[in-house]
Amino acid sequence: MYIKTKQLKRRLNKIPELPPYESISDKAVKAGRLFDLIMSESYVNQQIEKIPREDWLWLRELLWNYGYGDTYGDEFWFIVLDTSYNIKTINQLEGILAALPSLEVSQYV
Amino acid sequence: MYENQWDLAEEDLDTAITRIDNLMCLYRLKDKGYDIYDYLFGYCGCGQCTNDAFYCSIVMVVFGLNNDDIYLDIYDTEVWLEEQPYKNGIIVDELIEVIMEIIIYDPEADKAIANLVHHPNIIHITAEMSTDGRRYWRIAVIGWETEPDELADICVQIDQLKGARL
Repeated sequence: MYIKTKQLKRRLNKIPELPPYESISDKAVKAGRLFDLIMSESYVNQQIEKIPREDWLWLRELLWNYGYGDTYGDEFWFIVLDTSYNIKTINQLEGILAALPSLEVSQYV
Repeated sequence: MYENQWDLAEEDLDTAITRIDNLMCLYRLKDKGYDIYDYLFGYCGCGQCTNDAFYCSIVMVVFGLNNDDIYLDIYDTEVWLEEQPYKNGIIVDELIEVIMEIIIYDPEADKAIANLVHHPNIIHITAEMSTDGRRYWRIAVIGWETEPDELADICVQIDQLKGARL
């Protein structure tokens, strides 16, 4: 399999920034970030400890409501899950980018 | 526009909620002075996995032990009762179908302390010695109904009694 590294790097440079918390969808983006973190980490670490306990309880309530009578609606949950998916994608792309050979290496790997 | 593009599966929902509950359980232990850094709170809600690893994590946090020192098993109540050397002394409500037994190898396991530990979910608690001379706690609690927080309470009681020993 051939990978055009220059082309790939150009694409990876266009990784979109996630919207900040202050945007209209701040709650949903925040929930998406927390959801991604709780699903991707299994051990207590610095990232986990940075999050206030109240935020985890807030997310728990949101998830509980999702399962037992959602009050936020499809748009909210679209943003939550989309954010979570975007974080995963960005992490994967950054992983690929970090693993790419240096520029001295041939265009084709 | 948003309909059917993303859907949070029941498994993911269950996984996330249980993980948060586990994490909060660890935080409650942290509030009591235990170090929880690097300990497991994860859970897989695929339907085939259990939260057993987290129960072991609680024991590890409180007793400061390795995973190799802890054995957790789920038994059918009747099977478990038949295996007890002093069956007559153990009373189990007939509505309890499943028992969770936790063996904790701890050189400080002490029968006198075990007798002082009380919790409504405890079926049996004792300290014994294995054939190779290792001391261990044997804790049997009501299966499925014993929440991580309740096991944490039992473990903290033991730990505090160990600390209070003359």
